[in-house]
Amino acid sequence: MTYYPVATRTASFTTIRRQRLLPARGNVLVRPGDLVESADIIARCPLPGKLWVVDVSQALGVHRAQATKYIRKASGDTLQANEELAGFDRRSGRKSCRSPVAGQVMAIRAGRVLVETASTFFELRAHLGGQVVGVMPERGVMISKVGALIQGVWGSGGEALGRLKLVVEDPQAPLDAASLGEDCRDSLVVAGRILEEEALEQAKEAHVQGLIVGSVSAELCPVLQSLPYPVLVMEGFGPIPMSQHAFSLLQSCAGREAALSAEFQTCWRACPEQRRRAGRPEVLIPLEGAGDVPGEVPGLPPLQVGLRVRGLRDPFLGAVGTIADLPPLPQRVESGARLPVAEVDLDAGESVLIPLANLGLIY
Amino acid sequence: MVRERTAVESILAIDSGCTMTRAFLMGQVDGVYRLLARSEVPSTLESPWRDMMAAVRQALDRISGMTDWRLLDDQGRILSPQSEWMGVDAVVAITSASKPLRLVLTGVTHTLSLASARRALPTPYALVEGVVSSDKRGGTPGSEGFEDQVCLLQDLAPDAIVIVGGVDGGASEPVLQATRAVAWAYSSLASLQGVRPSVIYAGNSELQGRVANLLESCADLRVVDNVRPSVDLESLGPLWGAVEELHRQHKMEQLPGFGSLLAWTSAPVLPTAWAFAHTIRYLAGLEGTNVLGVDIGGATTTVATVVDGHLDLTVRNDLGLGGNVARVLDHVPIESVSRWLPLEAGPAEVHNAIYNKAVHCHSLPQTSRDLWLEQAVAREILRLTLTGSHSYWPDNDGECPVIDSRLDLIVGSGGVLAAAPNHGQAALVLLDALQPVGISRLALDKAGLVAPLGAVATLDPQAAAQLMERDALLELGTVVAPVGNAREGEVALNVKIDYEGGPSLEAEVEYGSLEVIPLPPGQTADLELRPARHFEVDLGTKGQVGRTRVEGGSLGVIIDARGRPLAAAEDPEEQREKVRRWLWALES
Repeated sequence: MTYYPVATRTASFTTIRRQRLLPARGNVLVRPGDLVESADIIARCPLPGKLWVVDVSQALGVHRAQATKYIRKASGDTLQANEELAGFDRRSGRKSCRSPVAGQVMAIRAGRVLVETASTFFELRAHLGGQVVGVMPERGVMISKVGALIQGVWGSGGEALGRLKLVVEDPQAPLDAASLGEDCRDSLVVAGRILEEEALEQAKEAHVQGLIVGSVSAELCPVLQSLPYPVLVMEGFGPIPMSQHAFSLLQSCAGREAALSAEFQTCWRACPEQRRRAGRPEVLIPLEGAGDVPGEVPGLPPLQVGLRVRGLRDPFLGAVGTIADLPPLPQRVESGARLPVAEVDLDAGESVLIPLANLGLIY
Repeated sequence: MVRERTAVESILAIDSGCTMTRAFLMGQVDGVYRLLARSEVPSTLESPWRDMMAAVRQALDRISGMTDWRLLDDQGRILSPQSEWMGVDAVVAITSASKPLRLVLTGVTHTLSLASARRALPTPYALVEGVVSSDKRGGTPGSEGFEDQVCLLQDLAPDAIVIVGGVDGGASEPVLQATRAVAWAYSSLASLQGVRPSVIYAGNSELQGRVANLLESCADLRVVDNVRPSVDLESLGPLWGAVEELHRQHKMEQLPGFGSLLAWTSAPVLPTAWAFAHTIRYLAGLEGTNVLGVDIGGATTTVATVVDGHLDLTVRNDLGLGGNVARVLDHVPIESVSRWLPLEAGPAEVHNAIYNKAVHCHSLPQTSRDLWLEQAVAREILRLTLTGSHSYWPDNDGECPVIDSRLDLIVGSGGVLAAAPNHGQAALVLLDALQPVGISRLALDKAGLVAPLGAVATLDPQAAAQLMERDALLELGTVVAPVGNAREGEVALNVKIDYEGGPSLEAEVEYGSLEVIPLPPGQTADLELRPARHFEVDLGTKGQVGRTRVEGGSLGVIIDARGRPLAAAEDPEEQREKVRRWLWALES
C-alpha cells in the first residue's frame, strides 16, 4: 500500500527557496538576479492609519445640521493632535472641538469628522540572504540560497535573525537561566528543552533574538506566545529531547548567521495576517556552496523500506529509526485498533511496529 | 450480449477535509448501488504539497490498488465515463477544508432585521464576528454608535459585511448610517490599496439606490431582496444565496487545487456540513422520525438536528480533533477532559498529549492511554458544539443541554467514532457527550459515508437512498435512558425483553449503571419497562409501566441509568472507577 507520510526536513546542505510576500499591494524593491542580505528591505507597502470619528455636534452642543458651519477643516486637510477642528465664540468663552490625534480629514458629514492617522509603511525584509530568483509584482519575491534547513513542529510566531548559540551540550539538556548571559545577546539560542519560565525571563533579559528547543511543556505555550522573541519547537510537547541529527547539525553551524521562522500554520490563529504567513516553523542557515550546488528538493517519496523516519505519537514520540518492513495487512496495536503499520528499527536498538499515520519522514 | 448501460452506473465521491481526504467508489451490484471500495489518506493542503488534488489522486491510486479498477489516466486525470473496469460515470465532492466567511452584520433592531439576517446566514458558510444595531444604544441616529461601527469594521476587517434593516418603505436613517459607517471605514483602504470589501445589502428596498451611491467607490456591493420586507414577512433565500456565492468565490475557490476538483465533478462541490445535514434530513423524512446527527471532523464539528421536520444545523469551525484540537482548552479546563479517563493522567500529560495531537493532526492513537484521551476530548468537543446549537433543547444555564426524549435516532460520524476499536467505545462517547433521555436508536457512520451521500443525492437520489439503506449506517442498538434520581445502587428500572419467537429475559437496572441486553442486528423485541417510582422513560408518567418495540444492533439494548445530567464523582479515583465500569459494560 502506497502511503505518503508527513515529512520534516533536516538537511545539512540543500537549495532553499522561500517566498516573501507583503501583506498588501506595494512596491517590490529588488529585481530577479539581485543578491540580498537577510536584513535587507526588499519590499514595502502602505498600511492604512487608524480611523477616528469626531462628533463635532456633540462636542459643541449644537444640532447636527448646524455643526458643519463651525468646522474649520475640509476634506483632505491635515491637522495636529489637539488642533481645533471646529469652534465658535460665545459670551462665556470659546466653545471648541479638538482633534484627538494628528492625521488627515477624510470625510465630513452630519456633524461628524472622520480623521485618519498617518498611514504607516510595512517593510518586508529578505529574512533569507540569497539571490532573488522571482518577483511577484506588487506582492513579493522568491529568494534562493544554498544552506542548511531544519524544520520544527510548532512556533510561537514571528521571525528573527541572529547567530546560532548552543547553551547545552546534549539534546536532552534543559534551558538553564544561568547559561543566558551577555554572550547570548542577539543570538538564536539552542537548548534541548524548556522546563521553566525563569529561563524564558532570563532570555528576555539577555536580549536573545530567538529560542530553538526540542520540546516544551504545553502549559507554557501561552507564555511563549507572549514573549518578545520567537520560540521554535522541534519535536513536540513533553519530555522529548531534540533529535540527535538536528542537534548535531545545529552544533556544526554554531556561530553562523541563521534565520528563524516561528510562524505556525493556520488553525490556532485567528489573525488573518498570521494565517497568510503560516507555514512550517524552521531554521534556515545560509552556507556557501562548495563544488556543485545541490539540486532542488525532490518530491516527497512514499514510505518504503530503508527510509529514515521519526515517531510522532506515544509510545514512540521522538524516536528515530529506519523502516525495515511494511507489512501488507493492518496489525492490531495496543489501543485495540487495526492499523497499517511499519516495522521500524529504532536507533536506540529495538525493532517496533508503528502505525504509518504516526511516522514522519526525515529527509 | 452487450448489456445496455443506464445513465450512471458508477459514482466516485470525494471528501476533502483539512486533515484527511477520503474517496468512495460506488457502483451497481445486481442493479443496486453499493459501496465497492473506500480509501483515506492525509490531506495535502499544507506544505510541501499545497494542493488538495495530490491527496485525491493518492486516495484514488489506493482504490485502484485494492480493486484493480483504474480511475486515473497516465496524466492523473479522472477517467470518465466508465468503460468496463475503468473510470467512473460521475464524480461528486464535498469539502470541509474551506473556512467560513467572517461577517459583520449591521442592522436596525435585534428582534426584526438582525434576527432574520441571522436565520438567513447558512451556518457552514458564515461566521458572524460582530453585530452592530441601532437599538444597541437606544436607537437614535447620530448616536455615538456610529463611531463604534466605524472602529469595529476597521478592527475586525471582516471578509464581508451584511447590511440589513428597515422594512420596505420603513426606517431609512439607521440603515444609511450603517452604510456610511462602512463607507467611512473602507474609503481609506480602497484608495490606499485598492481593497474593496464585499458588502451585501439586504435591507429596505427603497434605499437600494442610495446605498449603492454611498458604497460604489469603496466596496463590491451585492444587492438582494430585503430579508424583512415587512414586519410579518421574511425572505431569507436571496441573502442565503448571496452569502453562499461569496463563500464559494472567496473561500472554496481559493483552496489550492479546487479548480481541478471542480472540473472533475458532475455537481457543485458542497460544504461537508451541508451535505451531512442533507442526509440527516433525508433520514428523518424517510420514517417521519426525529434525528440527531453529529460529525466530529479534523477541524470542524457539526450537529444536525431534525425535529418535527425542521432542520437545525450548528457548525463549530473552531473545534475538531485535528489541527485545532487544542482549541478545546480555550473553552473547558483540563479537568473536564480528565474526568472521562479510566486511568490517572496528570494535567501536564493531558495538556502535552492534546498539543502533540494538534501538531501531528494525522496521527492515530497507538496506546490505550492515547485512545481514551482522544475519546475524552471528543466528548467535550461534542458537548461544546451542542451547547452552542440553536436547537430545541432547553437551556441548562450554560451547561450542555439535556437532550429531551423526542429523538428517535442518533447518528455518530467522524474518525474518532468510526475507528474506535470496538462499538462499545463509540457508543459510550455518544452517550457521555449527548446524554439522551428516553428511547433512541444509536447508529454509527462506520465508513464515513453519511456526508458524501448528501452530495450523491444531488446527482442521483435513488443511488444515495440505496447506499444509505445498505452501506452507510451500522446499527449499534437502542438506548433506554430513564430520567430520575436515586441513590447509587437503588433499582431505577426493571426490564423485561421478549425476543421474537424466543425466550424472555428480565433484569434489574440500578441507578448509576450501564447495562447491555443482547439483541442482534436485524432483530426486534418487545421491551417492558417498569421504572421505579421516581423514574420515567417517556412512556407515561413517573413509575408507570410501558411497553415498546425496540430494534437490535451490534450492542443490543443499552440501559443507561446513570442519571441526567451525568455527574462526575468528586473523588477522581472514584470517577475513574466509574468510567472503567462503563467501559467494561459496553465493551464486553
